[in-house]
Amino acid sequence: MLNDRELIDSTLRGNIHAYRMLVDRYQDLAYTLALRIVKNAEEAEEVAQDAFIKVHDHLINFRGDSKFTTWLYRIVYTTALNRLRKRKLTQVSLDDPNASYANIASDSTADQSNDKISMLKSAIAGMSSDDGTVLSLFYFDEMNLQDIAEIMDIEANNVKIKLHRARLRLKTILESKPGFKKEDWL
Amino acid sequence: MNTETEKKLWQLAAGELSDLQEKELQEMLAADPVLREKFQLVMNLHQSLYKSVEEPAPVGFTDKTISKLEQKLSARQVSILKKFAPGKKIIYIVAACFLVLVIISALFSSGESSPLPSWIDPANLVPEVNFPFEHLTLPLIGLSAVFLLLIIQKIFDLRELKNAEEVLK
Repeated sequence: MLNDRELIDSTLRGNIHAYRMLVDRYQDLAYTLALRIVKNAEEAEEVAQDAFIKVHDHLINFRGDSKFTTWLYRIVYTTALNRLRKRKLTQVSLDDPNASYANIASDSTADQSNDKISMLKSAIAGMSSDDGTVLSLFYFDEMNLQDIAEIMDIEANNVKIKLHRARLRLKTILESKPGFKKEDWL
Repeated sequence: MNTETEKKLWQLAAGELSDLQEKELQEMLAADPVLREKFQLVMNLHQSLYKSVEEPAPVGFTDKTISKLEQKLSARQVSILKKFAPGKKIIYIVAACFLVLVIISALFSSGESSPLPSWIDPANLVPEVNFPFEHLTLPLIGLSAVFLLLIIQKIFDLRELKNAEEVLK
């Protein structure tokens, strides 16, 4: 299997199939990250697609100082934030847990399910963009704090704080859910 | 349990604690069954998070992205072609130049080789004066050829632009 660098070089030589392989490889995380921020499936798909197009446009500028994924996620992150700004969406405040609960309560499908993963997904979907992003990056791609800091353009220490807050909020949200049984998680 | 301890539980689950901090917390866990239960919950949550944050991209995501990209690349190609594609006016001007050059070259070359009629005595002729532009005939023909090639190229450019636009549609 070709590595990222080989696929990038091949793309730069005009091989669109190589780029297709790159898109295929990272589509899930790009989409997940976009979804965590814009919180709308259709928009998330558009954001992720636009991000991949931007990546292609600027591929020549990718020098390989950082990992390709870090660079890609940063573009997805900024594209999603720009989309949010464009539609002037009122973001769920970081310190407003009630807003998160409201979102989760509306997800009746997940509420009816006892499946832990669905429960967690539903909880993450109801969290703020910041919380969702930091959790997605940390747990999905197992990124380190420095990479996440680079993507979100903040200090690594801030990422640590955000991650901690997000985990606590997630736990609080889960424990407050009607279907939550502590023994399932022990 | 205070926030600081809970923070440490999460850090322990994620392997973010130093050896010393980990040892201290392990001792606390060994002595406190409630804290152990809390840690179990945190650990399970932590492990489940790895499986739950992923949202698979919609079916056909890659195909749609690549076709969007190809469309954008074609649009860019059209805009570049448009930038350099000639207007019809330019083609007409080049064609007119070509025609003028062809006519001039024909006139010049026709004056060179006309034989004298038999009833004219060459001795009575005024001494021949060289036509001043005679040496220009060949370059004029060359220029005409260049203009002809230019016309053909411009027509091809226009065709390519039209084709690209049709593909975009």
